[in-house]
Amino acid sequence: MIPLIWFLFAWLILMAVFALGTFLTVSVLLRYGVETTTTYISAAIFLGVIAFVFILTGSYLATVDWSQQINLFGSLKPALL
Amino acid sequence: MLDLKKLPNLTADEKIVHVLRRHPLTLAALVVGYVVLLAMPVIGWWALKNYAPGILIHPYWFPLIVLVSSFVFLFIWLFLFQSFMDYHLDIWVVTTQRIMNIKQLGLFSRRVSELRLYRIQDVTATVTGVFHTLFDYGDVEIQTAGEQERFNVEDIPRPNDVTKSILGLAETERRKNLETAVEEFEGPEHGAKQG
Repeated sequence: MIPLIWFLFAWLILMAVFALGTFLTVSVLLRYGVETTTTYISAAIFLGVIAFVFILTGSYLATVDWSQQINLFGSLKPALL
Repeated sequence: MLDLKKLPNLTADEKIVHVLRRHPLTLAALVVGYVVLLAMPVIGWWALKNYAPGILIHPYWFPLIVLVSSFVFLFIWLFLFQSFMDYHLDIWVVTTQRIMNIKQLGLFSRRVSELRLYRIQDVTATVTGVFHTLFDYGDVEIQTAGEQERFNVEDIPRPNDVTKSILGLAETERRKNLETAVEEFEGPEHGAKQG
């Protein structure tokens, strides 16, 4: 049995790595990109989609009961039916 | 940010003639990647709703699916954007005096090289392949005098027009810098023999 919250912690760690990658990517774009509208628009779309996914995921995850214990290999079949 | 009006070492009489990027068609694979990525959540939701509706209300399988799918989506989004950046940050700027090649090599590596137009000896445009021919894009190879140095401009639109334009500009620039061009063309050895 694995506590469900462990998966949330793992996800948060991976999201921290993702945030670092995003920060570096946008920094490089804004530092070395040519000063054009395309540069700003592409950065805005990139960050906008990330914000949208975070808001959507976060608002769902806030409703989950994280105190559950899960059996990864024994409980999938009933869920599929 | 790189302001094209304030290029490094820009002289008063220097004008920008071309700002070149790879043809947008070279982004086709990336666009397909974006379409697939953006369709994935919709297809996934539809598949779960129709083939495994029990998972959508499951107390922990659905949260796990949300965690994994958001992670996968975001990282693919990041890698696709980095591919776009690789396209967007690679530029060739042709001015009335020089050609600048600014190339982004991954996230942490960048190469800026410059070539004076009067040093140009030969410019070759190459258009190879069906799509390249249909949409008129290809490579321009610039060879300089003096050294066996090549300067490649890849997958740019209208390579033949750009080649003509560069040759014209190089000719004008050579006339202006005749003395320096001759010295460079003959090389330091020739100069030493004469001396």
